[in-house]
Amino acid sequence: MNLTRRAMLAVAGAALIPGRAVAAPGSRVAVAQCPDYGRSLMPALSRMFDQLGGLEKLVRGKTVAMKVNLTGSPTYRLGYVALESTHYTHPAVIGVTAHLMGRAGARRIRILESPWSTAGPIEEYVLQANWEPDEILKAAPKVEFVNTNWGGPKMKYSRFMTPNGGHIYPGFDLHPAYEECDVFVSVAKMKDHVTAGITLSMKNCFGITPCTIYGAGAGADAPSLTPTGGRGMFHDGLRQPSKSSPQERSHNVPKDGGSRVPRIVADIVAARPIHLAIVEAVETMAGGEGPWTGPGLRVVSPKVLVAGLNPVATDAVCMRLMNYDPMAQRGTAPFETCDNTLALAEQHGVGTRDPNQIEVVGATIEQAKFNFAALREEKKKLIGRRRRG
Amino acid sequence: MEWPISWPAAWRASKSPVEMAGFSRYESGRLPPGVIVVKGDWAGVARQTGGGSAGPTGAPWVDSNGWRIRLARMQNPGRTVWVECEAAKDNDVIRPEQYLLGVADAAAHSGRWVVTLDSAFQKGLDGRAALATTAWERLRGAVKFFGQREDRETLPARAALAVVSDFAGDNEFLSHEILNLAARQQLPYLLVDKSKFTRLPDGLKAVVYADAQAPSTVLRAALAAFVKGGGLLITGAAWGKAEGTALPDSPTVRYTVYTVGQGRIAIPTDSKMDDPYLVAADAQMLLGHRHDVMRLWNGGILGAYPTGDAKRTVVHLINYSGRVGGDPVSLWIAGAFQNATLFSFEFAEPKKLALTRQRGGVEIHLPPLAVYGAVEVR
Repeated sequence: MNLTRRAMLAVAGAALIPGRAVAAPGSRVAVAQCPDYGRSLMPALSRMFDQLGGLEKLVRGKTVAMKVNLTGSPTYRLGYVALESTHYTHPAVIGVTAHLMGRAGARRIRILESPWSTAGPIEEYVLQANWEPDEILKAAPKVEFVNTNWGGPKMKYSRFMTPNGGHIYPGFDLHPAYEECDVFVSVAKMKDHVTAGITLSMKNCFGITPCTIYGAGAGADAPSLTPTGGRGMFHDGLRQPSKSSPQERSHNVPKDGGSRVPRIVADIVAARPIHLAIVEAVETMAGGEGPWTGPGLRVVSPKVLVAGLNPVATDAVCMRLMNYDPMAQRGTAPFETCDNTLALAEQHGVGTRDPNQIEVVGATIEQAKFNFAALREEKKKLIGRRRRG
Repeated sequence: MEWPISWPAAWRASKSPVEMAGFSRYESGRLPPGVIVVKGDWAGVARQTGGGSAGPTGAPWVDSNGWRIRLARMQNPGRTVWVECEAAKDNDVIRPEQYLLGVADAAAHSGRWVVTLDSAFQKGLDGRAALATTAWERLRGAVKFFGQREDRETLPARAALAVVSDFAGDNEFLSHEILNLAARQQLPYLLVDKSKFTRLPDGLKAVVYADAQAPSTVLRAALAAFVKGGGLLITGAAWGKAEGTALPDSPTVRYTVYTVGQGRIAIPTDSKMDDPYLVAADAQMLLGHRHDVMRLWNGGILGAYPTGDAKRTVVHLINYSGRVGGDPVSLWIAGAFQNATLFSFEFAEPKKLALTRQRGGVEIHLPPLAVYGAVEVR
């Protein structure tokens, strides 16, 4: 286990961050309408990156790590619908983004994910979803997949410390790929989430944590050899990560998923900052984050792309596009039973969720809005009817 | 083993009620010619007080006789394999679907399941109880369906992987369980009996040789040629030291992979090959999914047995839960096929199914199946 340079900086930096809500500077977020994952996609993403100041400035000569969302088993679909049309980041978005990064001079592009319960190659995982991995690997020079659900063949982890000591976790041990990059990009799907209300660029990073340490089968003292199961400890706190990794704070730690998951997501994105947040919803699902979150799930086509250099601001714009209020408090949609991840990340100084401090460029919110909120109400009614029998 | 004392009136009146119902009669020690009997289990999610039991992954434990039947057929060419299970105990609660599963699981693998009615079922038939007679009609329908002896049930297995063993003696437990657990993971395989070895089947991409003894000279030469030609050999200490260069990365940490000629040899890092679950799981990891002959989405605990070839494939699907699942199932089959038909005793007629071309194969959306369906593509 290495205490990395980044971890040292995080520990040193933590002393400089006051222990109160910090209003980060306003951010620019680009929004584009995109009818499909075909020919319209590349010009739309390219224009959005230009609106953010250009990719070249961000990635030229750099190693880029792109965390994508491949949540759940690749053999589990919502109905007959392909995974990328509902809950996986679409391979076209991954491929086109990698292509544009390569064209902008990225030295190396690594596609990262911690797929369900395996340390096997991501290529094998996506083949099961009926993807062709070569379409991503050949999108630009030096593209590779990295499974970050473990410490890699050398079983080494990089430690990332959370500013302010974290809401729950003072730090995390992650696959070294999260340290061996100059630019970290979250490429997420826009979805509702049954535990955290919404899942966007920040919640996508829940999956950067390796299940060898944070999973159901994690070793008690040290990471297990390979990952098994999900991250139940993040939801219920019934067990701790492997003892070799930072443990939960010992006091004032909630035990319900609706309080814990948003806090842990905020801790993660504060510990491992996101340089570029991309959220796609050309096609996606409403009502939950995967087919296991039914009933009342819907396949929808909002036909929208969102990108920003600040994940809190980007997620705030996404929420507005979903017809939710990013300033919403616990008890109101979409945070009926959970805390607002954006607010918790804001407390860490990661960014602002205040619409008044965020500049939206490209399509307007009104032009690109898709009413997830209305579908959420329909789902609630459906569940209510079923409960009443 | 006894047939029920009483049968529904129509059969009771007949001189040969068993045959009329589409069954063959089996009395212990008096087998029809050309038939062998193997001991098996009730197919389905393993029965246990308080609900189903779980396997090492936490998934429900599924019993299937498919691997036993295939092994017995290979070892006894030309003979019909019947599977005999322990009779249900008096206090066992047996759902009608469990009989259907027994019949379908065996027939899909070209065997036959010996039906032994539980006492409640027998009493129900005696008393002409509606539930029992309905269940009996369903069972009879399934038997009739498979009794048509379509060649769908006798096509050879379609797979990219072969398991080579003598399946006997010191190798019996490991080799049998590899077959059982590979099928459970929906990893299709062919069987090769090393005691009668002449050549490897065509079209293979990988071979598992997990026996404790070194392969014979002929087998070793065939496996070495297979590897040099681009194949993958997954083997243990019995193979000896692998020639070739160790790759820096392996798809699974439990194996070191050596490149030899155009192919690869994978040997466990600790030389041990004694856990059949891991052997099967690692075989899938090492082989990869590039050569899948079929894929299932929302398959749950469906068993899948692909047979045939790239011109005509039949995938037997057995729903070991015996209940229609909540999530619709999609099936992908490798190959350029034009049409798809579903055969099942759950439908009065075969169903033509729509197919779409998807990445080197065809994708088919299946209607709900409670027990069994065979999807044939041509």
